[in-house]
Order: sequence, then C-alpha cells, then structure tokens
Amino acid sequence: MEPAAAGKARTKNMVLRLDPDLAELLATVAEVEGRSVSDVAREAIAALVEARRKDKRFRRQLEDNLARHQRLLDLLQDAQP
Amino acid sequence: MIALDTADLVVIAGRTLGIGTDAALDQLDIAAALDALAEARPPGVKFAGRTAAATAGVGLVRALLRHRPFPVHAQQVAVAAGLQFLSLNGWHADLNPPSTAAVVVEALASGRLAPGDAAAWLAPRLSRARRAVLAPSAVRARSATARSGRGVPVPLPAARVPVGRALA
Repeated sequence: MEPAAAGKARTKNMVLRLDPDLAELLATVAEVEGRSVSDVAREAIAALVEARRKDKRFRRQLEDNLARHQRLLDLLQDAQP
Repeated sequence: MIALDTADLVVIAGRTLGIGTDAALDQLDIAAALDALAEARPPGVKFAGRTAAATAGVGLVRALLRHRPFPVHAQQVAVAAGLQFLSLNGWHADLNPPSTAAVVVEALASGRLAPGDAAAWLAPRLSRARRAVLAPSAVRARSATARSGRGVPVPLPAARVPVGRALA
C-alpha cells in the first residue's frame, strides 16, 4: 500500500494493511480520479465520520458516557506526558 | 456484537478532546486505528454476560493504548471508546471512583496490569443498560426491586495494580 496522508496542515507516511480486494478497489478509484490513494482513503473516512455524526443514538450514548466519566477523563489528561 | 470502526473513533475523539471531528481526523493515525480495531475484534464473539463484555471492552482499550491512533491523547480516547463500545452493546459501565479507574487505566497502558486482571476489575462494574423509555410495567418492576432491597450497591473487588499507588 502506498503512503497515506494525515492532516491538512502536515502529512506523514504510513502503511495501511488492508484487505487485498479493498486495496485494489482503492487504487482503482484513485487512478481513475487522478488522485492519490491517501486522498481517497481520507475522503472515505471523512464521509463515514459525517454519517456517524448524524447518528443520534450514538451521540446520545457518547454524551452520557462523557458526562458520567468526566472526572476520570480529566485525570487521564493530567496524567499523560 | 457491535464493533467500533475508524469513523466511530474520530467522532469519539473529536467530542472527548473537544476539538471536533475535522481536527480529530487530522490527528488520526489511520494505520494505527486499523491495527487497533483489528486486534480488538474477537471473531464471532457474542456478549453472553458481563465477563465477556468486560473482556471485550478491555481488549479494545488495550489495543487503542498499544497502537495509539490518537498519539497525544491516547488514554482519554481509549477509555471513551471503551465506554462507547460497551454502551453500543447494551452495557453501562460505572468506573467510580475515578481515581481508582485512572490507576487501572495507567497500569494497563504501561503493561503492569494484565488485561485479564483489568477485565476482572471491570466486570462487576458493568450493568445492563436501561432502555431510554421504560414501559410502565418495567417501571413498576424496578420500583418493586428497589423496595425489596435488590439492586443495593455491593462492595466491588479491588484491582491488582502495581504497588506504589494507593487505590481509593
């Protein structure tokens, strides 16, 4: 798999281990559209993220979990280097 | 079993870290996320009980701590993802007191606490999630249960964590 991109502000090289069929599909889409594989992969994830953001049940459960465990998450933030 | 995917992790991280999904996507190490999720996904597992749920939840948290798809905030995202994973599968986790839970997470992250021990600590802290809207019969049943004394909190076992940090 060729290197994949990271962010808008900076990029980094990485190796993706994908199912061979999926990797081939990704490469085909990238070639047809004249884009890099990393661009296509990133766009696909962004589309999934957008769909998930609209999942009300998912968001409700997330808000509940974060609210109930806010103190723990704060402690973990403080503890990290 | 409902497993998390990469998009789930981005949404969870964006909200947990308060940075939004665009910034979370920028911070995401895609390869690390795929590796972590693949490692955490037990093949064909069903949640037969809280022990299995705890094992799967700890497995996900440990995989996220190992692969660090969000390198700067690995512990927060891992814990939030673990909680969300359990919720999606119908389990409600109560990780109180927070100071104890933080010690457990740090020990799991550093490898000083075995996943099996972390799961043993977590299992009694799981309960079946309630439905958002309870039918009247269910409300009556819950009231009767409360009056009978069932559902009263019981002492939970302590985690076997490294010496040097007192558990609350």
